[in-house]
Amino acid sequence: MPEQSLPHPRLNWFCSLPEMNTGSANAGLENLIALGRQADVVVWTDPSYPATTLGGCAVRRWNGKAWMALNSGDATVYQATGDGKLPDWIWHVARLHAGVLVIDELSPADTRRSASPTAEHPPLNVLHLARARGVIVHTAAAFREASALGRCAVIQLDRGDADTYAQELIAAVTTMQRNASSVLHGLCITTGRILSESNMDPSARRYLADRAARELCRWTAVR
Amino acid sequence: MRILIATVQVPFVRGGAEMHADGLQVALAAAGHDVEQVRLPFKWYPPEGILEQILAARMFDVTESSGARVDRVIGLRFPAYFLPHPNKVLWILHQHRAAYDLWGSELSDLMHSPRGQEVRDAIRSADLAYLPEARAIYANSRNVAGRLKRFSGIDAEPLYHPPPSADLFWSAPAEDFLYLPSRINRIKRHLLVVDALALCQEPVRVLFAGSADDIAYAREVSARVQLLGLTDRVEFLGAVGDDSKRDLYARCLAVLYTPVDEDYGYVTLEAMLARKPVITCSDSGGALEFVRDGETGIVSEPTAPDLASAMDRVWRERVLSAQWGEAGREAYERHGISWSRVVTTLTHDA
Repeated sequence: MPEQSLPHPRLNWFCSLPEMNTGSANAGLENLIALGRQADVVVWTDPSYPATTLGGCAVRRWNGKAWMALNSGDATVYQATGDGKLPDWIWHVARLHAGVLVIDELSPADTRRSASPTAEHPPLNVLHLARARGVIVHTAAAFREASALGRCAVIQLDRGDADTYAQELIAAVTTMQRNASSVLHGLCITTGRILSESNMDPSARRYLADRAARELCRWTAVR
Repeated sequence: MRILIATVQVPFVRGGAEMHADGLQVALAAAGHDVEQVRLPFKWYPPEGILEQILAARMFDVTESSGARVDRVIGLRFPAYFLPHPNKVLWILHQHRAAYDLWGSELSDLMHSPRGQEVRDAIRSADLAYLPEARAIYANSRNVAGRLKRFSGIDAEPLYHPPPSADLFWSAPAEDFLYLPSRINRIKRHLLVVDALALCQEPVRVLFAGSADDIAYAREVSARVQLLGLTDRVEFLGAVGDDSKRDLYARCLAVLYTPVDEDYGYVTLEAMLARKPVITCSDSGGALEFVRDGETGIVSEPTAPDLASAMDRVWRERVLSAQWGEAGREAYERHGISWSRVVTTLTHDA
């Protein structure tokens, strides 16, 4: 009986392709091509970039409304640029559609950070991670910092052989996509805020908060 | 027994689901139960708002009212079927279809939302977390039970019920028209029927009855009729009253019912009660539990050429069509569909 292979996962990969011209981005290109061998990858790039192909990956320009294409995929990935920043157009998509953040390199500067950054501090902050289903980093320092923020799951992957890296990355992002729902976390936060700010009787508030918390715990515990 | 029927209401919209709840209420009352409906207002947009409505449903306490115990809750529709009660039975009309069988298609509004995937996951999680707390789970049809099993791994027993005023349907000799009684929206596929009509070899006529849920789609259908030059073979009657509806069933040659994966569908049963054959599609869902191809009607592929061929056949073969209609009525009787059976099942072991 012929062996049946599992269908390739469908990944939507957001990155700024012109950045790939830098030295570190060439490694990123190699990784994308390796990913394309193991997954059906659509690379979404700057609206001004020409639609083309990259290895086995289709390259499309983000038009600001292809939500159906993103929802149809198994996971959406937002890749920071080589200098460790998330381009504004990607940041705009990531705020609306939760996905997995991939941080390429540590950054010497991050305009969104309130604390003074150093080379050991990657450009991760609460804003970036609040809507992320997870974050993938490549250094121990980045892992420590992202974990310390406590906003989402963090995985550190080792860049070595491109095919092995692609395999691990696919497993990581599809797992993160399944296991997190920031929309539910948002509901938890909103509910807590409404209850804490209301003028109702304290005992009634405690009762409601307790019930809401119990329901949300049961709900979010389901995988 | 004091029973609450838990359902939802989209304000100012009335369809099969509302008739279903009303029918259940009447049947339970006739059996001597003290019964009321609790209708939670429902709005499916913005998608994130659905989750707030789920949480809201979970916050109600309906275990007692004015100091008197509520003995049973019968949950019918999402998200009202999440109301907590220790003696709850579910008779599910459908889950939130945009997160399940419609997901991946244009018909799912969630697909067009940036947060669609997350909302879908949260809806599915809620079903998994809360549905199993019911003492028993029944489904409106085998189709709905199948979806529950396929998507949520939940077992449910199909429990059929009669359409409203089932005993008032009657039959008359067939006249020269096919009848399509459905609200006008994309799921009902009026466009498919119009396209098929254009391909018919016979001078088939179709009478459409039903108001437009989707005005843009209704315009599209009307424009297609014009474009294909079918104005003399198509009539749009709009919403018709119950008497007119039964009259049209009685006098038609056959009933067209071509929705996408319908949950249950009164139309099929109403046609059988009026002794009329049904032309449906192989992907029409609940209708397929009753229509037997070549016995009580025709199961066509959901393509214009195949549907046109089915329409031509009933138009040409009048005697055979009448025989299928009679066989449909006999099949209805064999299914033993009755409210008394529904009431006994849903109030069992209270």
